[in-house]
Amino acid sequence: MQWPTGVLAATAVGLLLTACSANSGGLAATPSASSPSTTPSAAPSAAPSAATSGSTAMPKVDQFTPAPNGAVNEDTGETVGAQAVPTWDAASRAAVTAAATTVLTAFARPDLSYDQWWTALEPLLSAQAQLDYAYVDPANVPAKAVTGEAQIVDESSAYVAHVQVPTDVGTYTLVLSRVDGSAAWLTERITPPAGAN
Amino acid sequence: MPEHKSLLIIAVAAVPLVVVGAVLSILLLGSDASATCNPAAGSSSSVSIDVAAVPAGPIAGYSGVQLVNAAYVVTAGRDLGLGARDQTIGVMTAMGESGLTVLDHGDAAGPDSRGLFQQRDNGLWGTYADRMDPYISATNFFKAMMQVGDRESLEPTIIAQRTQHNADPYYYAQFWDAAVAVVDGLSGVSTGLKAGTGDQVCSGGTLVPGAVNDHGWATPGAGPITSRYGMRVDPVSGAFTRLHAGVDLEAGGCGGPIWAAHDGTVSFAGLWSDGGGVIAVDHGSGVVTRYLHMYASGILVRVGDHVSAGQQIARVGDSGNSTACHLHYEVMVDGKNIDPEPFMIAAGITLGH
Repeated sequence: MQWPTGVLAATAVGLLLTACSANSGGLAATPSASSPSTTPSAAPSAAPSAATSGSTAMPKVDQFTPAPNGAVNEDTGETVGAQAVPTWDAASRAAVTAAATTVLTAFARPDLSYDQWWTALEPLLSAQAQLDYAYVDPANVPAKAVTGEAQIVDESSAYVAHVQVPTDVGTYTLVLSRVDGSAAWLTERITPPAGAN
Repeated sequence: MPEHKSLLIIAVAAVPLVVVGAVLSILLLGSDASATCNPAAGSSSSVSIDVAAVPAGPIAGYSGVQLVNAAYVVTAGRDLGLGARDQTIGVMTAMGESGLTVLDHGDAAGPDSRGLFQQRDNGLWGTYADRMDPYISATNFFKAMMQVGDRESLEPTIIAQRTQHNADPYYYAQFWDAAVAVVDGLSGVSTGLKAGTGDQVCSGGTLVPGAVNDHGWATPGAGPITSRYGMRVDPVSGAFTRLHAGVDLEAGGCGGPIWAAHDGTVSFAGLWSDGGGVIAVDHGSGVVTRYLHMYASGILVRVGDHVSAGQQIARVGDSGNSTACHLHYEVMVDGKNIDPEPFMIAAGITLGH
């Protein structure tokens, strides 16, 4: 999309003013309604205002128009609005701790043949992890059993969880991810306790 | 579209479906040349160390007999015609297995493991004496490592793991920097290998930090803008149903630096179903930024990593639905794309500059 020059100029003016208010007030709330700048309503996007919510440096997001539902992303083939946006709720937490326990239970089977071990483990892993963990000899896995409850230790993204799981050789840290709110949790990484490679 | 992709599609189409999952990624990983960012493979980059004249050290915390053992490893690699990167992978592996000490004991997972490389008594690694001999055990390590195909497009830690078959594929990366220092220090030559690349395909590349503004935001890539966000006409239906969901930036062309726009958690990093590289960074507040078209070798972060604004997270590539090296940069709010330009302006960043 090419913007008409006039619109760009109007946006630039709004920008300068926004930058001034942001400089004077940090990134504290700068309601666009109180801004002295006005932008033609015909502009493809209103002059963006700097951030609002508390301590973050995040621009106020509700001033931007989301892509229409049903539009197809040319680069990824995704359909806008088709993916459920994940959030952290009780069901998500229960699902990810269960997934972590399941994958580590499948992983910590040094007694199994490779084929038996990998058949159980592979579907629980992300595509990248499938590539990397395919070369593990299960005989080299030090853990033999999960011995306690999984605990989420990092939920900074609703798409990703860092989960600790106790085993007979110490506490493993797992990274799991989900591609959207309705997708299964898949394991990205299974890191043994220090000293137990 | 480069020729290799057409060949890839044909190759994949010819492979039975069951095998595709296993083979596809290997083909994709091998689909771009990474030789330009690694020392030449093979003897032209081999380094030599005189085992009889190794300094006492310390180098990177290793000294005395540890450095002598590193010299044996490097020598074994040279005698097999291996280049500096492969030789250094040998030193890194021995650091991770034994701390460069000829151990006469194993560990919990492998009580029968012995020597510099903790080789097990399973017939694959020779006699007890072989496994306890630094030169012979290193030779046997390298011979096994040489069976790992297409090493130029694999990370050092992954090459080591595919040789050792240990339980954590990323374990050895933590020893890479010390291995580089020891090989450079003992050989007296600069191999061109860089610290910080033990978990990266490109071992000779440098990372460039981006400029971060007072609001904690950075441009994701250098300009100019080559295509803007917006709806496009579907060539079949004639309706405006297709979305160019991001801004295309030249970003320095092939290999140019891609920077995280803001602090966040990597929520996706890898290849999309069409083979295109994608990184997604979740910044909280419902905001996710995405970076497209890198090759697998140009993806420098993993899911779960915490990245900071201006951190180089990738190198520009030409994978997926792309006809030339560029960065396609998206901003999503609550799962839906928005125009990145006004959003970034609100964050104090003018894309394209």
